[in-house]
Amino acid sequence: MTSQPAVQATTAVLLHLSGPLQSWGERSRFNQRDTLRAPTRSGLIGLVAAALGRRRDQPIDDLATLRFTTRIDRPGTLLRDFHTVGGGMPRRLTVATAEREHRRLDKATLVSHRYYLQDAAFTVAVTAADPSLLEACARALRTPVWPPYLGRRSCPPDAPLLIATVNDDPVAHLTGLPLARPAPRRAQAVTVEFHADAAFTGQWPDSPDVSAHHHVHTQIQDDPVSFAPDARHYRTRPVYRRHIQLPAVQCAGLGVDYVTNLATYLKHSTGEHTP
Amino acid sequence: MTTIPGRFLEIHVLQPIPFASLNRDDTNAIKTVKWGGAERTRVSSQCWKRAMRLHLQQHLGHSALRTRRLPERIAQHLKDEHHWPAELAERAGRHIAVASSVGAEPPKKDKKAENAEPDAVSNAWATAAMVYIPATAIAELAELAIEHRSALEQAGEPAKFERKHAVIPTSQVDEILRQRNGIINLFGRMLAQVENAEVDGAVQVAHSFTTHATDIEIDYFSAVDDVTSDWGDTTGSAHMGHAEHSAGVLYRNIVVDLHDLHRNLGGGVAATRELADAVIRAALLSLPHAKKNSTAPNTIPALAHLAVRADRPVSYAAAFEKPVAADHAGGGHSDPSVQALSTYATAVNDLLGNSGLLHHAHATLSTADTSGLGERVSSFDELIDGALNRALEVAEPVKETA
Repeated sequence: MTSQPAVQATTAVLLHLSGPLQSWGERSRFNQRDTLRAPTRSGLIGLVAAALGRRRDQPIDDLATLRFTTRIDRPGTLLRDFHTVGGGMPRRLTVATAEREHRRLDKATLVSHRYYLQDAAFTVAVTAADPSLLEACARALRTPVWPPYLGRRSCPPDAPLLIATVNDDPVAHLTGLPLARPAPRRAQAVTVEFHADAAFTGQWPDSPDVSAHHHVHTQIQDDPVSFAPDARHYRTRPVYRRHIQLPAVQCAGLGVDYVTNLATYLKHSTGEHTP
Repeated sequence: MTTIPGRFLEIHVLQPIPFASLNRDDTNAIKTVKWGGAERTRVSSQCWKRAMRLHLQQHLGHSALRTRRLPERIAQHLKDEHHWPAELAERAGRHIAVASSVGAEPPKKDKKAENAEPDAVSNAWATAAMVYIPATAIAELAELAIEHRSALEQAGEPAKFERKHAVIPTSQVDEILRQRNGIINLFGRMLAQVENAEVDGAVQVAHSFTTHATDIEIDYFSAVDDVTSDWGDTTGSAHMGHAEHSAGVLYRNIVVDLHDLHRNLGGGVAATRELADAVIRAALLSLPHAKKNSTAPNTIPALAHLAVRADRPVSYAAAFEKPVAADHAGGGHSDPSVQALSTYATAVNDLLGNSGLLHHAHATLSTADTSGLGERVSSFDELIDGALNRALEVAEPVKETA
């Protein structure tokens, strides 16, 4: 048995999801297009699948083994966007009136209310048992077949979307990476929320009570089975959540300050491959 | 199909917009977005995309129609161009719509409005969904009607007009509806009902937003009553109201997926170049024209930056995450925005490494530092040519037949 493998296996892909607007719909129907407060599992798998050039009707079974742990750097706020479309749907699919009829042709313009998450930033650790799957995902995000977007095509991500691939403890990076937010004026620490789609594992700081790792916070219906337009299907999955105190000095600021701090972090931390 | 080295072409624009209202919501309020904790003015991606489409139609010479009023449009063409009697022309429009895979919808009988004036719009047949076709398709559909004129003349008006009653061959109608032109190849088309008619768009447009915090101005206005003004016998105006406006420097980001465009066009490099050139010009020079007569916001970009990448598209929106402060020495927001873009581009390209960045250059009248934005060129023409020369450079020049 060798003490040190020659090449260390990839343990995680780290992502930075930020842009003026994002939209992570869970229950969008007809003219109400919602967004959740954090990236959905379906949105993240869709992001990877599009980068890989997977069409919607192609299977995503291999990607189902991906696990996402999300750090909420900035929660953002909701934005309602008013949107009109000049008709465009078969009449029977337009919004029904109170009389169970449909609108007249000259009044068929569809109005939709689209919700966005504005001013939010997330750091995501993508993990999986299979290192080659993670490497394939990172490669795809480095040279995507289709341009990545944050839930809607009009919401491109800020650079860098792909922070790094790492081969050591992902939790250490997820808690140690610069925070994409301005530093508080007085406080020594900031409380940061983490979401995960599996029970928390690994070395989390500040957590003597390990039972919190297994506590299911809520359930959401965003685990994709198929993206095929005629057979779109999502399963319900648990959301695990916890809060951790991180030192205020980890707040790296906005824009160019964040990117510069991130570059410094990547230079000094070991075991990662830069984007 | 030839391979082209440039995968993504990014267009980054900084554009000052004077006191204007380019994009509003249902309450007449200016669209906004919060970014970096500051409220900005926003123009939605779909709003500017429409402005680009109209600009392309005007400059490309081939236009596209998005409409449900196909039967009326065909009937009008037959009456105007071929002197068909009105009734027969309208029948031809109906038969074509019913024959298509899109399907047709009869006018809705308005029970309550029996005494109302006949409404020309709601009494006409329409297609069951919006079609998006080259404008030239109207004449071709009319030709199809001419070909089947005698059948149309004999076709009765069944009590219930269905697809089986149509005398125009379905496959020929659908074939015309499947046609594309440049605009459809650029922006894509969803036409689920007609098989093989869908085209994936090659242009991605982001919502644009101001590089700095903006205040929305409420413009109170009143309209003078000319008679009151002439007679001077009383006071007051004929109308009072208010409207929202704002001003600022917008950051706009558009990405052209050159490989997708190349594929949509069936692999011709010359055709790809022609369309890419047109869409870059549309991105740089189009403007949503809301309130154009009351605000005349006809500006051009203060800076245009084009980047060609072989790996992934990059947005520079975060350059303005920290809101830009006005240059109090008299430069306003434009120069500090140019400076912020250049600084951010340098930082991001250092982080990502320059291997994927094949080319970048910019054109501007600003005197701010632009060292992070590649070579400075003197005109938009030069800027576009430089980017496309690099993006579409092919090892072996391919002779294309006309």
